[in-house]
Amino acid sequence: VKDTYRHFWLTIRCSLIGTFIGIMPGLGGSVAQWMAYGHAAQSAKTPEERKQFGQGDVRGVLGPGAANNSKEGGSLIPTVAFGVPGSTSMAILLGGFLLLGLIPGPDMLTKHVAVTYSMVWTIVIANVITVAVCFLFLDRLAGITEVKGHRLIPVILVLVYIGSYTSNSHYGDLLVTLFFGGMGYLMVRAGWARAPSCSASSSARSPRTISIFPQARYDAAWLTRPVVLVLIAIALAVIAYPFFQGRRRG
Amino acid sequence: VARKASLALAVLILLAAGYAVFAAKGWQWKAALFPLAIGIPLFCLAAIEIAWTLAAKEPPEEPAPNPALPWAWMIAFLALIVLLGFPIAVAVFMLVYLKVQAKEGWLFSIVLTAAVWGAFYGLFDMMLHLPFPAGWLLEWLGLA
Repeated sequence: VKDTYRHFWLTIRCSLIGTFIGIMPGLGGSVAQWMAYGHAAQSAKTPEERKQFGQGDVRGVLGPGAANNSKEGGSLIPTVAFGVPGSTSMAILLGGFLLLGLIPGPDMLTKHVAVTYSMVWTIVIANVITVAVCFLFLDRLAGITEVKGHRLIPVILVLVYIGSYTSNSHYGDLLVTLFFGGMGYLMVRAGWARAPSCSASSSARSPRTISIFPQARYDAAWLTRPVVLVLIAIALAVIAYPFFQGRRRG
Repeated sequence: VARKASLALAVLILLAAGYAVFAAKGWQWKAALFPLAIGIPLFCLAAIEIAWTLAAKEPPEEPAPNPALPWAWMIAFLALIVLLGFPIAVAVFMLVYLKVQAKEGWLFSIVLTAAVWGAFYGLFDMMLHLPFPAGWLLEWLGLA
């Protein structure tokens, strides 16, 4: 709790990232968490400080945690206002709406505003209850970190394989898991950042399909639309920024 | 180690991007757009990374733990799953790993194996009814 107040603005910034990612349909919790993690890591001022990430710097936990909690609120916005679910859980919620005869759209902000507010308060109260429960069991939960590694490894491996198999009920997924495990291992050894590749692969589906629509409507001219140009400029700036920063530091 | 790993990754990405571009070459323009738009820059960046890594001076090597053993365990577990099916493989792997690799006592190994197997069976099989097929070996022997 103390750490949250010490890094107050980081928590706020990561919450904003989470809310923003939540608003965008199709980007899941993992994207929000990794983006917040990347942002928290960038907020480290010196390379030595940055090395502490992944080795117990509390900011690496605070950022993604804040983003993860705030993304649910964010993903409510497109669900309630437009009927476009921002995540899988929101798609289920949307199904519930339709069963109850609530049609998402402007009505939710005028006629059924009480329902919308009840959801807002549910999220607020749920977060408060989570914090209270966590305080009760904090000591026990912290004890998990003291379990010896070789006792955790087989349990984690079982969960990893079950998780990858059950997504499609196909043995090929186990090979894919092993392959990407190998990639991850090489990336750790090479000192490459894993977070961007994770968020890229989990959000890759949407740009692939979305890139078809503007092209069908405007042909190649969509590349010259102002919003597209601004987005491309931002992307290039984000890529170039670390180089300039590195050069400035010498 | 870091240099070799970087090189291996860059070569892997170069090959994947090269294949994507090569495969998309004969496709219709619309279908090929995405693989080409991603593949060509990726290919160039991977080539730059390879040149960069080769040109960089070799930093002093840090001793790294041998990765062969953990990989052998992971591959063995996968083989067990395919041959014997999840329910048997989970129990066998847990027990053998805890006893042989982690060098735990019999009591601890059996209790933890039973707990993990019970959780696996109770949650995934009984509650969620997920279909876990019997292993190939069992099917071949006609035991499934």
